[in-house]
Amino acid sequence: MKKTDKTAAPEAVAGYLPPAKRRRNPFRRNPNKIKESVLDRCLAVLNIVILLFFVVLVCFPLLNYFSLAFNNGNFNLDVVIYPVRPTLKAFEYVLAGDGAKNFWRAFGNSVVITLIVTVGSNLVEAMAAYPLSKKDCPFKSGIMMFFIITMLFSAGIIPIYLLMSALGLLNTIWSIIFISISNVTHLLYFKTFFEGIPSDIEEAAKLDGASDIQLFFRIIIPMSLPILGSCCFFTIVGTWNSYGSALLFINQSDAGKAAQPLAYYIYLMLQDSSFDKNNPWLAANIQNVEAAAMLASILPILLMYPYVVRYIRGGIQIGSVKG
Amino acid sequence: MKQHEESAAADVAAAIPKPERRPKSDKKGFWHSQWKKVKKHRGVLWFIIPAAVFTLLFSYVPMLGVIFAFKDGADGKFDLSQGDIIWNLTHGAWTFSNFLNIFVDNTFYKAVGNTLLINLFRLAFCFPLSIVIAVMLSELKHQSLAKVILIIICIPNFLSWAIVIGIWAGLLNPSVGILGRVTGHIMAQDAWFKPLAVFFSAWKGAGWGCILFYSAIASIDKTYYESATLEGANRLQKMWYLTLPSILPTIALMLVLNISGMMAAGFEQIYTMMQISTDLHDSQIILDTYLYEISVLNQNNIPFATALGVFNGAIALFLMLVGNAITTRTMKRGLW
Repeated sequence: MKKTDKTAAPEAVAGYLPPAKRRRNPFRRNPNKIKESVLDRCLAVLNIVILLFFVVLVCFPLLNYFSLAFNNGNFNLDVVIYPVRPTLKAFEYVLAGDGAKNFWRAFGNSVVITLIVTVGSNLVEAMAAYPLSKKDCPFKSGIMMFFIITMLFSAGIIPIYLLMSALGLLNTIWSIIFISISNVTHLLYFKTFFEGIPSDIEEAAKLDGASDIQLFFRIIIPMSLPILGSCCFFTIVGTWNSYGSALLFINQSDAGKAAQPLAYYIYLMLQDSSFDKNNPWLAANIQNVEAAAMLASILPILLMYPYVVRYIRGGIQIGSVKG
Repeated sequence: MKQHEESAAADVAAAIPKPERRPKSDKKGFWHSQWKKVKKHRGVLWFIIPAAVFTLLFSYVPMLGVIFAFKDGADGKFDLSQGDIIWNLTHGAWTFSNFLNIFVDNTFYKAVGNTLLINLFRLAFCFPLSIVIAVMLSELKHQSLAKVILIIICIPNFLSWAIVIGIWAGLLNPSVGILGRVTGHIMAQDAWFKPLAVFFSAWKGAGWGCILFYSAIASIDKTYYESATLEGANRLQKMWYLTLPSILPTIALMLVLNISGMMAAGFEQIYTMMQISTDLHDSQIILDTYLYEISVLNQNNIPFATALGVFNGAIALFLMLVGNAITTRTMKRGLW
């Protein structure tokens, strides 16, 4: 308060100075603003400190562990948050050396699985949601019930395991793909979104002679890109990172090894190193090799991070859960 | 079609003095109107078929597998190595004892206890943490900084559980990990298993979980805060009396959703953590991993494993229905 009085007084006396010409001090507080109490300012500082602590809590393990990927294995104990003896040997081993065959095979499996599931699941669910989004869809509640029941009840893993084994899909990537195609949550998201599209647009397109398929793929899908993008994004991240179904359907046989997705490969790598025990370099660098394989496996997801940033900043809202 | 309707309406109008235009009985009217709708939408209705086929094949056909739960598998009569599914269905006695055996199975009680405990800890720790972080972020003066922080703390959510647990197992490794050299091998200690499971859930999911609350807070009208400031409310009062009540519907909805998922404690996470110290089996086992062990790893009593799976699914269904009833009553919206 004192400070504002001091600055206000010369202004009143030295009225001959036109206020427009005076340089505004950027550090001066706005005198009209209600001053924050000491408690509030302490809280604000505490707030930032705690948040930064959370940031450190997230960043430190990541930096510490992934520094190992770039580090010489004999100096792992010295690593804090950056590699002390930088080397790319571990990456070389994983991506181009002895470990490359298994890594790239798992990588390829994951790419194929993720692509097919993302395109297949979202296309199938969007198509199903379109007729269901119409107000006068016949047997609407019955069909919705048909889909929603599968979201609520599952008969456990034995029946699905037996089904896959009867279809001869055990130890193939198709078991993982087929089990992930049906996604009722996304069906509900699509349905909610399509319900918001004005029916005038469809009628206009119909008048212009568009068939139902043209209408759906040329008009409805391009209009639904935001929701389609969100759903595809969630499918990609979920499929890339999940290995629960791989644990179910894929075993350690040769056929199973050929069908491992990448996340499952990382999981297996963690618990038992099937690496060559006779290689002394590998024995010293096993942690570094693991870190390098993990880092290489998350790069495709990190490439999608700009989308996450958009999601956070724009608050893209999907489905009926609204803020 | 229309003419027929109109003539029927005219007949009824002649018979009954009221000008009511409800000529047909309800049942005939229902099928008739559905048929009219089918004809109207015949071009797009087949769009449902692909999704319906996948749902039918991979969700409903397995539900038929429930009948395995009623076969007697105790003395190895039900044996997948002996014949195919049909052979097994036609041989062996029918029984209800599999469901009764669940309740005399000690491992089942341990698994349920661990599942509920881990989920209760999560509810008490991870869930409020997301809300607290969201409130703290929205209190920041520079919202661009808040978004940068949010973007950073969301990173672990995009790592698979294998990687998250791999990172922490590396850090907590007693010989090479930077934290493990101080703490010792806590990942192999009984008492630390559940706290660590909850902590890993928080580390992975808290940032992502708070986006929902953060955007809910961001959508609160800013003029409320201005008037609260003019009335002399301080930061804590604004948080407590303005921010929290405004996002209460979101909190309640997420709370009900969490409670509905009480019986699933995260198969991938717990199973991966169990691989690090396999000697602590009983204190770590949850329903999902128990089910996995008896269904896939050692298939010596498949009917019992099916029964346990069905039982688990039934409890989950019950919790979801209760949750849905609660949200429809109190919040005028369903869970799905």
